[in-house]
Amino acid sequence: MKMKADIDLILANCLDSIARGEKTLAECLAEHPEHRDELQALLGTASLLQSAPQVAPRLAFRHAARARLLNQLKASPKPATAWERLGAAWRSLMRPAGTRLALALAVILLCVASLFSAGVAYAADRAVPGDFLYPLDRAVEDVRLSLALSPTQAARLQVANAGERLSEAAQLASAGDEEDFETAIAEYGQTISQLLQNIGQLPSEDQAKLMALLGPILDDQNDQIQELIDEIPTEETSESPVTETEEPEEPEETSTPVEPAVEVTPKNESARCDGEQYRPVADNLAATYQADPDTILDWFCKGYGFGEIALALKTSEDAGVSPEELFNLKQELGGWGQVWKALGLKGKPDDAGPPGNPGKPDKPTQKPKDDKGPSGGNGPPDNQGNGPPENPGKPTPKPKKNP
Amino acid sequence: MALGQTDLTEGELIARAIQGDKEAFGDLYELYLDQIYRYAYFRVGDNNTAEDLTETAFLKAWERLQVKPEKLSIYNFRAWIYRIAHNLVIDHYRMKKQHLHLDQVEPLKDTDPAPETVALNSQQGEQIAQAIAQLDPLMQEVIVCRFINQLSHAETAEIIGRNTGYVRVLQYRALQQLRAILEADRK
Repeated sequence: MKMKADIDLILANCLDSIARGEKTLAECLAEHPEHRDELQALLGTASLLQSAPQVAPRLAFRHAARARLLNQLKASPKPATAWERLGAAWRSLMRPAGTRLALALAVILLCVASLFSAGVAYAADRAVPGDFLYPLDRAVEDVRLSLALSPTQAARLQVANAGERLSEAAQLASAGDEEDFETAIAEYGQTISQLLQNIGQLPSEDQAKLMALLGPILDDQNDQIQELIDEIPTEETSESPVTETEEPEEPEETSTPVEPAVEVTPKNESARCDGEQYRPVADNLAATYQADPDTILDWFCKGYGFGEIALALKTSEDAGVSPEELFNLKQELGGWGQVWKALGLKGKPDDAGPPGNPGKPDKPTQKPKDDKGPSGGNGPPDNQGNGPPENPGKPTPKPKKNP
Repeated sequence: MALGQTDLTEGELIARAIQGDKEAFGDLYELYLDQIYRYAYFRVGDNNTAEDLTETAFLKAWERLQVKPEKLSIYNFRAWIYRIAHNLVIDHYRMKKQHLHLDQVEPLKDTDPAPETVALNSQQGEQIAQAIAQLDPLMQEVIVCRFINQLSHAETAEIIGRNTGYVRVLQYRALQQLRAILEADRK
């Protein structure tokens, strides 16, 4: 198993090195004598693929399509308003390269806001995805996290942030804003993934203590997800494939990713998936949703974040569809809201109810249909630090406010 | 990278396209046409459908650029346009109620073979294309992105919505399977 896990990385590194001209095939093989035969065969297959004759569109299509395309293009857009330009500038600051600067700016803005207008900070805190001040709201949360003093404080803060995302999702669902609803749900999943992975890096005893502390709050959030599912309108028609998948086409700015099923990507390509490290987290999720912890770890190692897994398990309970099918469905449809709509979960009696405490399984354990084995390197994220705990209880919906 | 007649860089073209410059978008179309077409072709196995999907992908991209330009990540245009094509392929199979089971589709038998496509008609090309069509859809995507269109692990990961570690694993398994398929064909 370990050998297999290694060879996918070795293969990838060899392919990259050869493509960049840094190494020859012979050098790669010489560096890995233990995998020589297999590597030689796989690199040979890769080389065969790369040297295959290239398919290209018909010449007539090539010439006609550009003209046709340009004819179909709509007129130039209306010029952006000052607010839109300001919003775009802020969002560009929030991209990874500018995150540090944005955080610093957020702190400065907070100071200015506290000196001259407490209303700005208040308004930012009430912002929801899609609002001009929402990035500021998130930046403030990041600053608080970076100032946290202990893993416990950080965890409680992250739970509070997750609760805030759910509250925002509820508000957006009420307003019928599907796109930003998906953003809020995706960010909820990200926050929970990050929280659980951070917890997973603590010693086992600390993990157990924290999970005991946070368990009731997460159960409460589980209730909120159920309420959200119940609020999602049912599909008007069973088939509207083109419009359904329009949303996921946008990769969006990096601060509000809706697309990826994987919330946390490894910082280091060579990071391996150490599933066992996260076993207490997986055990807790498994107990909550009466699932198989090994299967949960397997999903984690396949690149799904724990938040994503929790949402899939919760949805699976309600819909009777396997989590693996739900992962695929979510990938196809672009967001959990779309999945809930497509499955017609609205108004379904909550017969299963949110599982409260980890209990004995009285349902069949969920197994993936396609157990394809080993994982890629989904390394744990950096610990986000800690901060003073917010009110981690059930958040109250906030009114959407635009400047 | 200077492109075509305009001598503008890719980034400049994207910036101009976001501002509504159709010609700049046309140049981007030229730049990515072959890649997107190849991607579509290997996923649907039909020249006409691949052309339709390619054209639709660019139209949708233009519409998106005009509606919410501030939300686009300019530096990642390539992954974005692939992502649009990826969704269109999914729509295509959903509409045909085949849900991406390419093995149920007669692979790469074009009813209207075009001279330019026919590179694949060489024995080796066709053999490879049919071998790829026997992989599961996610593996097909990884193989097409990585080896047919020469995308990086990171770009491929972004397109298929997984992490790079998972792409590496899929790449390894897909190459193993392809090797077995090709060897079996030879016998």
